[in-house]
Amino acid sequence: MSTTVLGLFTQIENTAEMVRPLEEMSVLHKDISLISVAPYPEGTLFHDEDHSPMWAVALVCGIVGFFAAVVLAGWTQWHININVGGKPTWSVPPMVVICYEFTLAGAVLGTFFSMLWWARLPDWNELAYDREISKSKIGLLVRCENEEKAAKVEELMKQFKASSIKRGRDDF
Amino acid sequence: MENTQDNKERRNRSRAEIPSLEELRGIAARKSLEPSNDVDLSMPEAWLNQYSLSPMFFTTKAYFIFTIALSSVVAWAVACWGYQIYNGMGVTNLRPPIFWGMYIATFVFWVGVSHSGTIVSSLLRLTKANWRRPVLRGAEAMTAFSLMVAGMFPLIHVGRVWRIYYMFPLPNQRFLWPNYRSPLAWDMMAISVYLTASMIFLYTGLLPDIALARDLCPRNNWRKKYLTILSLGWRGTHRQWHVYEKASTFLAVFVLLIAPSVHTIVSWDFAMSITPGWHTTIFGPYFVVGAIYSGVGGVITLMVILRWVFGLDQIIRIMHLYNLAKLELVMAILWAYFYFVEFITSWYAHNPVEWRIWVYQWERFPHLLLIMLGGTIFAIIALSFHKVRTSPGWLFCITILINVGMYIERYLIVVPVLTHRDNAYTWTDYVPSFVEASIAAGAIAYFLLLYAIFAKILPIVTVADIREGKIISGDVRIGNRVLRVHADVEEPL
Amino acid sequence: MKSFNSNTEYHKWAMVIDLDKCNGCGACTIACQAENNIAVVGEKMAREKRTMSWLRVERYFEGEWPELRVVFLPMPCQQCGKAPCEPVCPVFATYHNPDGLNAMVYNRCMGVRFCANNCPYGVRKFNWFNSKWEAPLEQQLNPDVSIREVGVMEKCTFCMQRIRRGKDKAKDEGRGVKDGEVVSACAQSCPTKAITFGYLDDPESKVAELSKSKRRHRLLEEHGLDPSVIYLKGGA
Repeated sequence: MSTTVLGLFTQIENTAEMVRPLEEMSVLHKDISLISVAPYPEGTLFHDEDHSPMWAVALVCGIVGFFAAVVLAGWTQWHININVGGKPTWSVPPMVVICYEFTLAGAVLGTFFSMLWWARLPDWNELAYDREISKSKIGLLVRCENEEKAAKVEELMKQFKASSIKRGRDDF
Repeated sequence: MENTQDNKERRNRSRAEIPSLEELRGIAARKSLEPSNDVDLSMPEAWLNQYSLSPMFFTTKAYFIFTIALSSVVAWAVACWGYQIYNGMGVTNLRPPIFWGMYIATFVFWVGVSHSGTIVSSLLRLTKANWRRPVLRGAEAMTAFSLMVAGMFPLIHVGRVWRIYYMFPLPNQRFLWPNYRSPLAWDMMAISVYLTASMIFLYTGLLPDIALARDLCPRNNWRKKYLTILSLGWRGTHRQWHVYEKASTFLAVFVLLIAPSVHTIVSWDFAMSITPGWHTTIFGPYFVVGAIYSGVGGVITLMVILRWVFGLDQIIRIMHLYNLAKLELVMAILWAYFYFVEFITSWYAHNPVEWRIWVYQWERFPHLLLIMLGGTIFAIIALSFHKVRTSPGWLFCITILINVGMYIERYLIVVPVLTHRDNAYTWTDYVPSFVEASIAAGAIAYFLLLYAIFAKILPIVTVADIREGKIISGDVRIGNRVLRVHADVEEPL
Repeated sequence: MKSFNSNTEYHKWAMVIDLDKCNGCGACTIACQAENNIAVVGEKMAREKRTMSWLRVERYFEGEWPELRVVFLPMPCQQCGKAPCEPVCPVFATYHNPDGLNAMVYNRCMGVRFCANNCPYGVRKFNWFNSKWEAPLEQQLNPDVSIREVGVMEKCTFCMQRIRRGKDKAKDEGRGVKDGEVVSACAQSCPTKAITFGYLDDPESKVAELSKSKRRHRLLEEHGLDPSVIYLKGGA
């Protein structure tokens, strides 16, 4: 049963300096995370690899949208083959317009939902968090496999001037 | 007795976790900021938070009066619409061959206004303009709400609104399906896609701010519940921020691609017909440029109103108005160019039907033409002055004039073309009826009402974005001058 | 495309109007009004140009008083071969039927009125209000033609109900429709026989014969809409 330690800091430098000792304690990068009210640039703690191929989702959803439009507009024109103003059965301009809109609609929806998926939202569990973070603090999350390690991490956080330390669950 | 007094005080204090507006302004005044600077990021975080959220939590009496007045205008417009549905379209002054009138002009106007919100917001996001932060939310909300207003007008305009579902591809027994060859069907698709995309764009931008408001919201406040739900449990972990920033960039690109297509398609409602005066290739770009022109004007107007109504002058600084005004100046010049191009081609080519429409416009609506053309020229001249670009009052007047001009422009696109069609026997005149004018006025009230309610229930200021600005910026002293610098977060190439 | 009636090989109805024979009496307008249950809107609406007549007689004046000449132009729906009103309807309420007519489906219409904007002839009419017939006038309504609701478009159908009846009769007798068998209400009532109605692609028909006249022209041909109403003018 793993437990997560959340330390609240006032200075970002303190959290950054804590990374080295944590590494020495053999805490993996994937078990460390920052909680902040605004984004810190990539590499504030350490360089992380990107695991979310959002472009692929957007592309696939865009393609799905495109073909949905082809099916919708194309099939309609074929199925309801009524002569309107002598236009050909397969009128291209309407297809172009609707395909364009649906492609982008697919891409937008794909991006949005994949963002929620990778950001693990919505999440109604009581996870390690503190309202102070929204006010002015920066939180450092460290996931530990056992109690012993968690105690050590807490000790380390105190050394680095954490204003308060909490325990909680997490699944980041 | 004393005990209860004490309790009351304590309760009051806990409720007033957020200091009053006067207190906030007091802090700002003590800092005696230079008015043209960007948001003062040396302010403590608590100040930034609370100042930004103050429109939500502090309601003045003026706000109530304003909202009640707007609601009554909207109620009147709804009553007019009910009257129109009950009696038929005859209560408008439409008559053959003027089958589209003020409703369509209003529709095009509001779709136009909706454009700049997302275009400005996504352009500034993509170019990483650091001054963008306070402008984003107001602009994005403008897009969403003006589209909601615009979306009402096809409903108001059709003869049988109770049959409007024929427009949607709803599965039914006999497979009666919409006709995708009609520009109106494209229009319906484009507007729904744009509304969806701009809502998602707005909501994505809102997510961290909702979480922040959720945390700062006093426990017994009625907003706490829905803020908790809408925040989806956002915490702002490093991973969430990473995904979020990527998604914002993607969405900005997509929305930037959708927006011009929407107004092009709206213009094709006219341009794809065979009606002289409408059937021109210039209409697509003409409408898009007009939309951005009118929309940037709308953004400036709203920013000035936000400064006045909610006292946000420490967040939405003169500098932001100044930058937007420069953008508006560029758009005004482009727009004047389009007027010129449109006029000179029909003047020289002298297609008799088209020329007749110009002559008719000039004879029938000289005052409207004067406001429309004079307004644009006046805007170009006025916006060239530094003093005007930095004065909220001036900018307010000019952008209102611009949007009045743009409304007239839409009206003059729809009406004179229809009153003077190919068949001279049918020529006639059109003045909107009281019902039409009421509903058009109701649209303005409805938009402002939606905006006012939005400012009360969700953060109107992009707090998280401003706090990001605080993280990545600092001051550099060069001699006796102190300059603000922003760290450029570079993408790995 | 197959015709409604397989006994008939023709599928292009047309009307020839001889303007030199027209004296502007307006009998065609009245006949149309009676045949097609067209609402009588009253003086106020008429002043607002909201008359519902599917066929109107347009008056044009040539010259200055006293050398004044009035020219009449009966204007029904031109039943264009490439009708601009059809593709712009978002709900297929107006379409091209196999008889080459530009048909209107009243129940499908939701009244966006794009069709009317795209019609250069201005022959489409809109139901601004619900139409009323005071007793006993409702007794004279034509049972073959539906009454249109408020909020829908309507226009000249080339007396679709008469075409149907003629074709049904011909089918029952196992033959094609003979020329002159189906006559629109306006053509029937025209005292000077200025209006002729029939199959244009039937080489034997009167319409086909007249349409080859040197006096022929069609309205607003620059739009390329292939209208089915042919006007004769100049000469005689």
